[in-house]
Amino acid sequence: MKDSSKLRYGIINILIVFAISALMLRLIYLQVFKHNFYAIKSKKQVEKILKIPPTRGTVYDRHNRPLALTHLAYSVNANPSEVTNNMRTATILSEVLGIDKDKILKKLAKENQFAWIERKISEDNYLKLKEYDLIGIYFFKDEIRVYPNGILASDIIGFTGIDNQGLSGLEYKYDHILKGQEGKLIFHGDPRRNRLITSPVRVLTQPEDGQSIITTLDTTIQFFTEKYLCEGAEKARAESAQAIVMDPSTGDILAMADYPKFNANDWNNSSIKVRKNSCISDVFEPGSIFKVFTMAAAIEENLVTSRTVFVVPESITLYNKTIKEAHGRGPGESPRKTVSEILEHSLNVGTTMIATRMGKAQLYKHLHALGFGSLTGIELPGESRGLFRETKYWSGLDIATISFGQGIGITPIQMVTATSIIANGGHHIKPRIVQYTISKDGKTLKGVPQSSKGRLFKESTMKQVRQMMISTVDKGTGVSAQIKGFNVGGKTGTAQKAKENGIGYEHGKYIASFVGFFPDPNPKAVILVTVNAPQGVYYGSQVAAPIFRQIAEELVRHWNIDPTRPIVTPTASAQVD
Amino acid sequence: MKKQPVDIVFLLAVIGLISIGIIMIFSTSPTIGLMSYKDGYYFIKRHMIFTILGIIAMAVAIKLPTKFYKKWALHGYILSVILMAMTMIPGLGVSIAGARRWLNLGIQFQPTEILKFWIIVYAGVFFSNKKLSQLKKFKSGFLPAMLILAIPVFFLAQQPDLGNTVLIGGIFILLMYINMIPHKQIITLVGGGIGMATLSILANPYQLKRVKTFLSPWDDPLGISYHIIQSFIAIGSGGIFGQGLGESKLKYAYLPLHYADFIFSIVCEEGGLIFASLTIFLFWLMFKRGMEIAKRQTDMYLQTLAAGLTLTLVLQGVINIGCVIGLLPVTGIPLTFISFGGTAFVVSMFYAGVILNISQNTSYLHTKPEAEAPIAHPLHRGLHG
Repeated sequence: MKDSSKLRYGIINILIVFAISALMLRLIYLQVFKHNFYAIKSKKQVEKILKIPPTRGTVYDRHNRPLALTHLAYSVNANPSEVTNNMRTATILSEVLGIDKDKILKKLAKENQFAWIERKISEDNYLKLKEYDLIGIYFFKDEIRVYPNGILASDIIGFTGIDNQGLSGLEYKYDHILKGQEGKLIFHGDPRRNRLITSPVRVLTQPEDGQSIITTLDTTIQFFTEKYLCEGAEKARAESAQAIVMDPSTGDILAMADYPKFNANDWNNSSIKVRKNSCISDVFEPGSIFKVFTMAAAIEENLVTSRTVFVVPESITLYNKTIKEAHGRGPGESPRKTVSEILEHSLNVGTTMIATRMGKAQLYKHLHALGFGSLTGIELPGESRGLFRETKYWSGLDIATISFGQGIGITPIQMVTATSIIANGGHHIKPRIVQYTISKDGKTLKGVPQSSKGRLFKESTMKQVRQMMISTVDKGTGVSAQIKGFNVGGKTGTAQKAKENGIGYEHGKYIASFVGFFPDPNPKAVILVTVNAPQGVYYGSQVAAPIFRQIAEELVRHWNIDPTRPIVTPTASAQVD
Repeated sequence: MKKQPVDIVFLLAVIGLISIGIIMIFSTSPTIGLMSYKDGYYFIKRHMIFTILGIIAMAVAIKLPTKFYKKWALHGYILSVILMAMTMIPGLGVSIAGARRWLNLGIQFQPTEILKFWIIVYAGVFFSNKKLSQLKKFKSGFLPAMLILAIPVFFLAQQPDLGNTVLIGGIFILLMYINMIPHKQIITLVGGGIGMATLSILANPYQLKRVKTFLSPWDDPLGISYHIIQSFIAIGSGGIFGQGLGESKLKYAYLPLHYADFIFSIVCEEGGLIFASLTIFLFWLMFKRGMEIAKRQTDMYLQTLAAGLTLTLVLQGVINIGCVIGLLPVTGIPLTFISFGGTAFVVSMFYAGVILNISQNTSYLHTKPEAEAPIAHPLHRGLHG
């Protein structure tokens, strides 16, 4: 072909048409053949899901008084890149919220888009800050868990974390019920999840508010139980102390106190040791209060009655070990003791004789049936099963020591549950802390049935044991637990405190305890008081029994119970176990 | 000499593209305006100002005799080269994202934009001053022409600015081609140019990264390939008919620069294949009319000027579209008449004005019969013979 200007323009034209065709083919590929692929990608990246938190359910006591509830709060955050006057903003925030100004300044100095200033501020503070109309400071609705009674029952109720998740106690155990189901919103948003002006908001699922739980606790009983326990423990300068009030016929926990206490609204400022619920997790050697169960087992096996007489020496040697009484015998005192007297005076040698008459298999059978060595199944987190070995691991001496409460580890909840079985006439019970759950509109959703495995002891056995315990309070070691006008049954205990490593005992450290019931017949309450490492006087009769009496007297007033016997002046001098 | 009216089809193509640009700026920029400047009309207001300035620039270019540029061609060219060289001077040259393309002399600008115009004008003067026999010879044609190109392109490659190097180099070679530089030399030059460009890419990590992204964008869709993948999502999700005006989702901060270099992606998302094709058609129309205006010029200066400016406008568009649809590695070249582009937009309007100015020229009507008479042009006869 002849080279000419026309030819060259033609070639350039072909080149451009070729380039434009390439563009068109590529566009057709992307927009026609790959349209679905990219349309889905576009939709996916623009669709944002927003979770709507449900309102957490309330924890009530047995009379529908709130123990834990959820309040509206506000959370403050900043977009540091938008804040114009860092100094003024930080000053106002720190003044209203009472937080460190330098900390706020540090947050505002960062080059990012988001920083928390403070979570869960009160509505008052929110309204105050709102008035300043600070640029780059944002608020959104949040929830705050409030424990209206603060320190009351905080070991049982527990507490929640910053995102309202249950962390301990009932808040943890019943988290799945309390928290509810979060709802979901779908909307179109930009990469920072800001909703597009053009986008509607569609509700994917509505949030379902959490259910509330009705506990077995009675706020009033809980209050004075804690009051007297704390007063008693402080007076005794004890390391810790626990008290449980149980309805023996149902197993309902009416009060559960654990000293020292902490404030659930401010749980962060307390140690784990304080926050744990010692009533269900701490294992201790019960000492003499355990003797009642040895007696119960022997009577149930028809080996003795409360009136069976033993000639009890002052000491007894078993497998080269001498077992002695804690206190010497008075001058002219007869060695002939009934089973009831052995309990009343808390005689170790006498109890050992009863236990050896019974044999370890039967002792183990009954103690095991009473729940020692097993979880009671109370609906609280962190329960311990204690230390109760099977008989094949027992040394020869163990039958003696276990019979009077040494060489066995139990929890306060096990102790109070076993005593309740005696009080209720021999029926197995499972301790109960939650009665039922209710929906937000008050509908009962699920009851927690009182459960029983049936009768464990004969009614007559239990009656004898109760009578022996009443005698103990009337004229034995438990006189400081007497209440005017009522039959009170109980048993004191003073055990050496086992070392934390489990080998040997801590010198001079005791656990003083008292377990008892009242009134009789038809006991309404079983109360256990344990005081850990009191200083000065340390006997159960001196430290724990008075606390029991204070709680019991208050219960009489609270329930307005009629006296069951003529009012007599209590015996003047208390005996010690 | 009597003038004919300006080429109305070329003007309509320009108006069409500007209209698409205005519609797209209205549709896309309020979000970014609100986000970045707390003013939804930030970009719209500025685009309107630039449009008015562009119309003024166009009117001036239509009225201003083309002789004016011819007179100042050498000065303009030398000034451009000096400014290009100055980007190398620390303190004057401003480096952004690894490329030293800007010059700060009180105001900040890219000297490349000045070079683009004056190299075409100077090429026109150079070629029109040479006889055909001279142009056919290596020493008097190819070599001096190459020198005109090579000096500024040396600095351009140093910045580096591969996009504009290829654009300016490509247009210059096409102008050499129109001016009858022999085929053999042109082919050798194009081959050499491709080789040089390849070496330059391999030597420069910044460019290598872009080319890697171009070759396999799905290797890192959230990292270095984020931009181009978002562009694909915008284009692909538009389909044949588009999401509808104002319905873009990607413009909400997903696709960066959606109002500037990547505006074509939003054209595709909102307007679909239909609007995309219309845009490309208008570029083709502009090319066709622009080259026809060039072709009929008897003066090689005017022919070179018209063709060079037309190719600049069209190839910028083609390269920009090629980049955003993934046919070319991403370069910083805006979409002519459509991107929110400040001075580049005004300059493009000015170029269109110059082309329209040339379209008024009627000299070809008078010289045509003479050109057919061999006696009137002894020189041409001799050479063609």
